[in-house]
This record gives sequence, C-alpha cells and structure tokens, in this order.
Amino acid sequence: MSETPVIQTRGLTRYYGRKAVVQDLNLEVPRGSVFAFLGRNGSGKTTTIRMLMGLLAPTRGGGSLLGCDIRALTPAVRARIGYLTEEHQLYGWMKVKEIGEFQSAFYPRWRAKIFNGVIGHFGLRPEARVKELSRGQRAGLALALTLAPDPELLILDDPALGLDPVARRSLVESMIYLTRRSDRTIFFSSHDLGDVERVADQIAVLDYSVLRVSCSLETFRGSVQEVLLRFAGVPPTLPPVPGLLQAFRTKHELRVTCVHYTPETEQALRKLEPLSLELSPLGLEDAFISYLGERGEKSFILADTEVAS
Amino acid sequence: MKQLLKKEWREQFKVALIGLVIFTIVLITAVRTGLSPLRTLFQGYGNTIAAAGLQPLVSSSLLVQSAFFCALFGGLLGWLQIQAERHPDLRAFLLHRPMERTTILWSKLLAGLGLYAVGAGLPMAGLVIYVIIPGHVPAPFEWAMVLPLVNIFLLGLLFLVAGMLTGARQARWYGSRIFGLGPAVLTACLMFSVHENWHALVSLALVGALLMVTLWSSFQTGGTYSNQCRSGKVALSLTCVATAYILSGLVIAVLDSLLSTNPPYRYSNYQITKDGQVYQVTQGGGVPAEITDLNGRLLLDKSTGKPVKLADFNRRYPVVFSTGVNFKHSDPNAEYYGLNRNISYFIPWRMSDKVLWYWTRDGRLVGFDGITRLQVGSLGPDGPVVAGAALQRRFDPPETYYYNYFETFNPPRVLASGNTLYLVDVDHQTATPFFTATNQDGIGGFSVNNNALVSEEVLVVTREAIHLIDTKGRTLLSVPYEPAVPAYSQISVYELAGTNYAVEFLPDYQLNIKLGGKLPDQIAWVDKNGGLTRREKLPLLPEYNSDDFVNNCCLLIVSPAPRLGGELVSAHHDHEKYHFDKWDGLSFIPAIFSVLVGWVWGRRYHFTGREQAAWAGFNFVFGIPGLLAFFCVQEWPARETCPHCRKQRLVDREQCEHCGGEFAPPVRNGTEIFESAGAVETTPA
Repeated sequence: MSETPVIQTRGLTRYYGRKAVVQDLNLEVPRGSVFAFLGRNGSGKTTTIRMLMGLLAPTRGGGSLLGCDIRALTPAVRARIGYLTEEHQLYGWMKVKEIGEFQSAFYPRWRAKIFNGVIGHFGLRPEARVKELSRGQRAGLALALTLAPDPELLILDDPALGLDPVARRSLVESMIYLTRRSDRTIFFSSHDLGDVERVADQIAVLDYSVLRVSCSLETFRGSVQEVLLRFAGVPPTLPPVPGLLQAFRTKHELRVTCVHYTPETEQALRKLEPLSLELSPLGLEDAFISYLGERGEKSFILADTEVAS
Repeated sequence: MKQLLKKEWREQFKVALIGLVIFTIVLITAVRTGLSPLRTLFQGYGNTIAAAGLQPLVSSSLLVQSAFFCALFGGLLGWLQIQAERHPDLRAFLLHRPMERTTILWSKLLAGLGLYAVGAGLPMAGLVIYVIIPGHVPAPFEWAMVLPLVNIFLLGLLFLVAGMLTGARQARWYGSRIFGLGPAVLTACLMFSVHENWHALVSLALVGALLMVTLWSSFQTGGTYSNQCRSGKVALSLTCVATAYILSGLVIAVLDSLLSTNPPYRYSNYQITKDGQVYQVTQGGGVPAEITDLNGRLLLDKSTGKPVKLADFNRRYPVVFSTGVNFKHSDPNAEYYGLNRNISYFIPWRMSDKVLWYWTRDGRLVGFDGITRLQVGSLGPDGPVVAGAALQRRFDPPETYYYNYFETFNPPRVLASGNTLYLVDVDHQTATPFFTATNQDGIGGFSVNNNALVSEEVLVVTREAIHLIDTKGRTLLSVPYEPAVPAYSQISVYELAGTNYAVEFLPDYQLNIKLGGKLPDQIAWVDKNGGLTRREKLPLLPEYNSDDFVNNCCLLIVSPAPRLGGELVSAHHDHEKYHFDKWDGLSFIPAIFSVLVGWVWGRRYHFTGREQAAWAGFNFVFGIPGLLAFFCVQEWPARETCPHCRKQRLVDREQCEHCGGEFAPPVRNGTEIFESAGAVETTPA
C-alpha cells in the first residue's frame, strides 16, 4: 500500500438548511483497500459521496480524491475514478449497446472486454433498451459502465440497493474480481453486511451524520461484544457502563452489548452480582445493528404489550 | 462531444418535431388569415383590406405570434434539456466523465441550437421561400423584411438559454427559479418597440451575453451562487434584478389600478359647421357628447329645445381638407419610419381593378395583381420603371401613410415628389405634374378631398402659403401660412356656405406639450377671393387631469437610477432641460431603505467590507427590485451558537467571525472505534 490516501477528507461538513447531514468528517481511505462506508438511512453516506465526487459543495471543510481537491476535480482525475450511483439511473431510451458506445467515447482506456463480460454476467442483451431492464439488470449495466474504463478508484454508492439475491451475488463476485488488482481502491456504501463481510477490509460508520468508526473489519468485530448476565431474580438496574451500546432485559437475564470490553467494564458489571457472566462473540450484522441501534436499556418490542395484556 | 450532441438530439428530437409541426400550423394559419380578406373583397364583400396581412414577413400579427411561439418553444426546449438530468444520479452520470463542464454545457447549447433550428428555423425558412417565390404574396418584398423574423429567431435562442438557466439554477424560493427568464422577456418587449434593427440586435447580443455568463457560471457550480466566479455572480444578480423589475412593474400596475381615483377620460375639440360657427365638442367617458358654443352655451335643437346629439351635429360638417405639415418628407434620404412595421417598407396606396398599388420606400409605386399575386407594374414620377432600375426622382410617401388600408372607394390619385404634385393614373401608368412650388419652396403636406367623387380639389401647404387648387392646377384659394411651422403643423381648410372658407391652424402636438399646452387653436375666415375677414384665437381646451399622486406613489417602488436615467434620456431626446422634481427626490427614500436593509442583512451574515459596499451600490441603483434580487441570489447559511463566545456564527465559515474559534468536533459518546491515522478525534463526553 502506498502512503498517500486515495480519499482524504478534513472537517467535511454539509448542512441542508439548519440540519447538519455530515459533520466534521475526517476520513482516510488507503490505496488498495476495499473500504465499506456504513450507516443507517439518512446518516449522510450519499451526501458524503456526492461531495467527494464534486457534485455537491461542502458547507465547510474539504477533501481530496487521488490527490486532487474535491471542489475542482479535473477531467484527468475523473477518468481514473469509476462512480456508481445509488439508483443506477441511466438514459432509459438508449440500448445497452448504445450506452456502452456512448460511454466508451469519453474514456481512452475503455475496455470493451470488461463491459461485455459484465453485461454477459448479468444476462443483458445488447439490443435491450435500458428502460426495459429490471432493477438488477440495470445495476449490472451501471456496474459494467463503471468498470469498463478500468478505474483506479471505484466509488460505489449502495450498489446492491434493491437487488435480488442472485443479482447481488453477481455484483459481489464482480467486486471480488476487481480486488485482484492490488492498486485498485474500492470505496462503497452498503446496507448489506453479508456483502461487506465478504469483500471489505476496512469500514467506516456514520452515526447520525457523525463518523464513529473507522477501522479494519476485524477490529470492529473484536470491539463490539455481548455479555450475558444471569440472575436468580429480576436483574437489577444497570449502572453507567463505559462503552454501553444496548441492554436487553428478560426475567432472569440481562444481555449487554458494549464497545471496548475492558476490565473496567467487567468490574462495573460484576457489581450487579450476577450468577454468571458470559462473553459471547457477535457476527458483523449483530455488531453493526447493536452499534447503530438506540443506545441504552431495552425490552423486547412486544414485551410491554404482553405485560399490559 | 459528438456523443453528447447525439444524445441531446435523440432525447429532445421529438420536442423539436412537435415544435416544427405547431409552428408550421401557426405560420400557415397566420398567412392565410392575412390574405383571406383579399379573397373576400374580390367576392364582393367589404370595401377595405388591411395591407399589414398581405406581406406576412412584416405582418405584426404574424410577428407577434412567431415571437410568442419562439419564446415558449426556446424556453421549454432549454428547460427540458436540463430537466432530462433532473435526477441527481442521472446528473452525476452526465457530469462525472473526463470532460470539462464547460464542454458539456457547450454540447447542450449546440444541440439546443440545432433542435431549435429544426423546430423554429425550418418553418421560418419555409415562410421566406414561400414569400420570395412570385405568385404567392401580392405585396412588395425586399430582403430587409426578413430581419424582424431573424430577430425573433434570435429571441427564441435567448429564451433557450434562459430556459436552461431556469433548469440549472438552484433557488432559495422555488418561484425565484424563473428569475432567469426576466432579461429575455424584457428583450422581447424591447424588440417590438425599437425602430431600428440594429437596436434590436444590440439588445439581443447584450442580453445574450449576460444570460450566457449566468448560465455558464451556474452550470459550473451546480446552480449555487456562493461558489461562482465574480463575473457569474454579477451576471446572475443583473439577471435577477431584471425579473424583479418586471414583477415590480406588475405590482405598480395592480396598485395603480386598484388605488387610482382617476375620473373617466373625456376630451374636447373644436368643430366648425357649414355656417362658419365654431363649437366645442366634449365626448368620451361613457356619457353623451356635449356641444357648446364658445360662450359655453349648449347647442339646442330649435325644434325640440333639447341639446343637439352628436350624430345630428355631424350633418352640419362642411367639406374639409386636412393635412399634417412636415417638410422633412421632401428629403429623399430621410428615414421615415421604424423597421418593425410594414410602412417602413411600403404603404398601401390605391386599389384599381383588382390591382393593389403600393408606395415603396425607394419612392415608386408597385402594382400587384390581387388574383395572380404577380407584380404587374412599377411607376415613378417620370413614368413606368423597369424592375431594378434606379429612379431619377422619387415619390414622397402618400399623405395617407398613417392609414394602413386599401379602400375600394375614394381611391387616391395625387402624389408629391419634392416640390411638385403629380396626378397619377395607374391604369395607364402615367404621372402628370399639376402643381410646382416656386422660389425654392417645398411641399410640406397635401390632401385630396375626403370625398373625391364630388370634388377635384387638393389642399397643398408650402412654407409660404396654403393653397386650394384643382387637379388642373388652377388656384381656388391661397392664404399665407401664418401662424407657420413649426408651431402650427396641422392645417385644415373648411369649405363654408357661400364659397367662403375657414382655415384652422392646430399647434404641433409635441411642441405644444413642451410648452405646457399654451398654444391656442387658431382659425382664419377668408372669402372666396382669399381676403381675410376674421381671425380668432380659440380658448384653450380643458385638459384631462389624471391622478398623478397615486401613480407617483406607486412609481416610488422604482429606484431613482432608472427613473432619473429615463427622464434624462427623454429630456435629451426632446432637447429640453431636465427639471428635478419632488417625486424624483422622494424616489431616493426606497433606494436608501433598500441600502439599509441590505446593509443590516449583510452584517448579520458577516459580509466582507467589499461585499457590503458592492451590495449597497447595487441596492441603491436598483432600489426595492435590487433588494429582492439580493435576497434571491444569495444563499443564507444557517447560524449556530459558537461554543467559545456564545454568539451566533455562520456554519459555512471555518472560524468563528467573532472570536476566531474553530468549530468543536462532534461530541464523543465513548463508543468510537478508530484505528487509522486520520480518523476523527471527538471531544470526550
């Protein structure tokens, strides 16, 4: 990996009216990494990507892509970046073949082989009109158009959004194929944690417009842990626990999820005098849901209803 | 770029085709409507025909319809070109390619030009081809007549750019997106009021340049104002202020109509009857006319004792000859009329045996057969003229130049050329001189009697005298032209009972306005030998007084700069000294108000000194419309409390404007996981 980050932001901030949708984002994406950009709906992922692509002006702060200021991306730099938008919007009246020809005219390094390979992989007929394609096929076409210029940096905004499992598998396979080139960087946002787990080596998480996580996948997984506390009677009230994400209460159990499980955390939990205390590992999806869920103690959704009835 | 051009063509070609069909129908309908009265007339219905419709290229109704179409089509096409990529992702697909945004914009503009040429240019070209092929249009043609149509074509291009700007511009208020259209609308209004073609071209070029800079700059920044270059900001501000002025004009018109307390419009004039008596006739305002003598007594019907009605009074009118006097008409090189009306090129003169005779601006009569629509004759003062041959002498414009109709009754027969009057026989294509002014005198105006079937007399006015002559050149009456031009430039001769005459001298309208309406109408009564029997200056007629107070109050919305500028230009044009009045002074109040509001608002948003000064100047010059533009173009970022000094600070600055402190990083909640070197450092909770 090279020392210079491919994507770098410094205090990147964007307001819509009085609402900050991205706050003070400082991010570095190393060359050659597959970087997953995660967060709940409306957390600011797409806004961040649009700012990175120079399509939306930041309210303050800035950044660079391949060493070029995001406010003034040159055509030469743009030629090195493949950008796949969230909804795979393309010109509906064009045929698959036509849109390939259209796009190829702008890129000197256009690889027809890649284009044909990807559309073949998604089962697209060159004579089909874009508006007649299914969502998955359109995503495949958009991916083919993004990959064929052989870009150095790929920015994919939720590429699997709305795709069926087969189309999503094809997309992930394409991404895995791309990672074979060591100097290629992939920066993608996604809600599908299974895909993230398969391809990403670095993740960043936006939580309500603020960056809370930027680390390797392993570090994230290792940092979020679940502790099961068993009690003889009703579990006592939780004291302040450092790094607490969520706590679920049942009749005799307290299930606590927290970040950075340290001796201090364990000490705080042991003060509750549980019968037993078990640490259990979490899958990425569970870790992520815990991380981005509401903070604090919870009961199960219908528990209150049952009590009331 | 070729691919982008192709894409734009494919996307909007249907729109261009629909435009082509609609505009072709509009033009065909307008041409047929203009020519249809001719057919009706030859079938024996009616007795007049408007000449304006006979040559479609200068038909004002066709030009207005074309202008409306081109403006709508151009604006819609431009807007659609941008709207095609209204979805942010599709816009990203267009913009994210190894190409400058300027090139992308040029592609859109060039494609738009081509599509517009298909939708609007082809029908126009078809119309011109139709007109220049002999046998289609029974009216003179010269290439200069195509210029108004060319201007309208260019006007549509202006709307194309304005439409693109409307689509491309982000706006704080949704309605203010249309502010890009204002300069194009103003230019459209201007084009139909200027008299010289180059005036229209200059305004098109200037406004075109303004809109191009605005569009280019807005397209570069995705439609936002704050990131634009200085020239883009200036252009956008000027664009918006033009629209703000249109809106202000509408507000003024509405306020004026709602608040005005103007009395009904009534006007008065003097009328001489066959017995030589002078009466004042007051009419209008939806009430019956009032006829009084010079002492103010109502004229009563002797049989009924009731006031005489206007219809009955009209029967007392004598035979009258009237003419305006203007010696410039004798100058063959004079520019007579503006270019936007057919009378710039030709004037309908006489219809004879289904042949339409026009006076053309090169000073000849040209005849067109109303049935075959082919040219059948060309006549100058020296007789028939071969097509294309230069004239030794030219006919001056006919005395009926203001009357744009052919009539089957009372066909004119007299034309002037320099200091000579000719009796023109179009059937035999001869021109016979029957009066020549002597002693270097010229002909300022002449008039054939308004009922030529009963009279062969002609009123002719030279610098020295007013003559009534017959077409054989015999003088029936000759009186000195006193009072003379330029003060009195409207002459009427009334044939009274007993072969007496009354000569009425009316003051020059423009000159009289300048003199405050002080010049009285004068009447001289003369006997059949030309001897003056009486001369009288008539009392000044009452003037209609409108409620200027409400109008002036409404006009205060307009800032002093355009107001004073307009008055200075008007004064210069009329060779008058400009007088600064109290309303001019009061017009500074809204300008100062605008400056103050802009200044306070600028302070709130921490404008730099230079920005404050620039906006203050802008608001002072353009007043309340300027203030409206100021609010529309600027983006107003949110404000937050500074954690250091607790004052309100703008969110788009890196440091607090008050204390210089930076924004605090987001508050830490203890769940952060950072590993990479550049990750965020948040404040501990």
